[in-house]
Amino acid sequence: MIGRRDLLIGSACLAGAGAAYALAPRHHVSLLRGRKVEQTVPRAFGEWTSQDVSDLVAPKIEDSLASRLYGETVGRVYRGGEGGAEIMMLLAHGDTQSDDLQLHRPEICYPAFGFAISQSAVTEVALAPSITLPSRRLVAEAPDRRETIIYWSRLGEYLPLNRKQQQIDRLRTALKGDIADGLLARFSMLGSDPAVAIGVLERFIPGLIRAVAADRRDVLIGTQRAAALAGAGI
Amino acid sequence: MTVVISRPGLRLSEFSVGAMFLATGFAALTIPTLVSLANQSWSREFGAYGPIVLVTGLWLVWRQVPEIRHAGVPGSPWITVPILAAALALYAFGRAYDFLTLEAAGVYGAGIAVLQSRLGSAILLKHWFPFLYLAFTIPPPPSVLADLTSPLKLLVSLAATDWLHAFGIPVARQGVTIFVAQYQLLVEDACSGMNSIVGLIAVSLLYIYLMRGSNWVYSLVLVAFVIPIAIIANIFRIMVLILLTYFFGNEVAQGILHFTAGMLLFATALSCVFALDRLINYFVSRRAEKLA
Repeated sequence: MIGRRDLLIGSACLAGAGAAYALAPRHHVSLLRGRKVEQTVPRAFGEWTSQDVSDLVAPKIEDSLASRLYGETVGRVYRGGEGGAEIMMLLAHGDTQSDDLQLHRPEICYPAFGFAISQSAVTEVALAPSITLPSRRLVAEAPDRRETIIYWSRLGEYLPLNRKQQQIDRLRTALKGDIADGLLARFSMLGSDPAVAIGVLERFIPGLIRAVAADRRDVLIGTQRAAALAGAGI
Repeated sequence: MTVVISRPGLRLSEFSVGAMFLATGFAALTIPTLVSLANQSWSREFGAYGPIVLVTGLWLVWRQVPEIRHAGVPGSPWITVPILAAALALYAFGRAYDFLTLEAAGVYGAGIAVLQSRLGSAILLKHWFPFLYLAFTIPPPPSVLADLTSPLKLLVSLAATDWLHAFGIPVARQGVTIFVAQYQLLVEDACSGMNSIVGLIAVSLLYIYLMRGSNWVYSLVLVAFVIPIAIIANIFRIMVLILLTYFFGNEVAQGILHFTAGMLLFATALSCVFALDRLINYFVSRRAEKLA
């Protein structure tokens, strides 16, 4: 009865292929809504003014990887506030987050570029009283420089704090039938004292987010927190 | 109940409809996965061995066809059904939610289920090597690969710089960055070469099988040696890169010679495996002579 058995197995395979097709998320959700990250985040606010820089993601050799991962990257150096502090900002946005193409987390990327990560901790950046942003705080060391970093990542409406969480959040989004966009927001300062740098960054980040138009803040921090800020009248 | 081994009266139409369904169903699983593999794994350095394993694996299976064809008896459905069900569940989940490893494992499992159904378990176990070898076409999850290779990367750059330093080359190391004279080298993910370790294991297994047949104890012993061999070959490669940079400058080292150094790594490692195999066989055959 090989013939009938083949028929059954073949049908089962077709059913498997069909199930994969039916389950696959197809609904693209991008909080960027077709606009540009570049135009969302102000070039200047308060005492700060900025200058565009292009090599913040990685040296040029990694260009192909970076350009496959991210649809848009914005690199800027903000200067002028806090008595002459200099803050590097990198915003990297990718329209679809898949197994193959997804945000690369700085605690993984920095060592690949020769930095040693000497501190890595989860932190909450206070955006307003009782509204916080789950982020990660890193100190990266190279022989001739020490960089203090605060970054967060947004995957759809989630703000995962590590790679595992990022995978789980991607799966949760997919189970809802959505293909989410992803954003990596990284702010860093050079300097020998991480405690000072953290203080500056923790004042800079809320300032920058408040300077973004209220209906566009979701690109950076997700709908829920953007709405909470608007609700608080900020 | 009669057991029918050959059925000359088998109606052609019945046979071909079933076989056609089987071929269509299996193709519906396989073709999209092959496309994903080609885009996401084979085109990268860490997965470049994929098509080689697939082609050589299929060739090994094809070599067995004359032997298998007449010896096979339909396998027990009690084995086929659970394998197929698990494989298809893995496939659907992996394909839908974009986990390439699970998807490829699903296709592999479904293939095994088909073969088991047509030929029976006994013959698959007897000719286990080609089928196991084909499992190397399942790409390891990228995150696992990164976790496994990053300590090796550090070890490799540490050893390379220490040895060269002992020979008086002005070389220093910080993390995975290497400083030689005025130059700075990076033992990057892509060029660390540790990613080729899976490919190296696969090719070594193929070699052992072709030379010595499917002796699993011997295969295991040699595979256990492949990992240290890959590490040593990598240290060697990075030393070559450092020396090239030191004597000829960064341009030369990062240019065409970088690529050649990658090929050199694979060739060196493979030659070590071959040499080891020869050595073991020399001693084994000498002992056999003595005993005789």
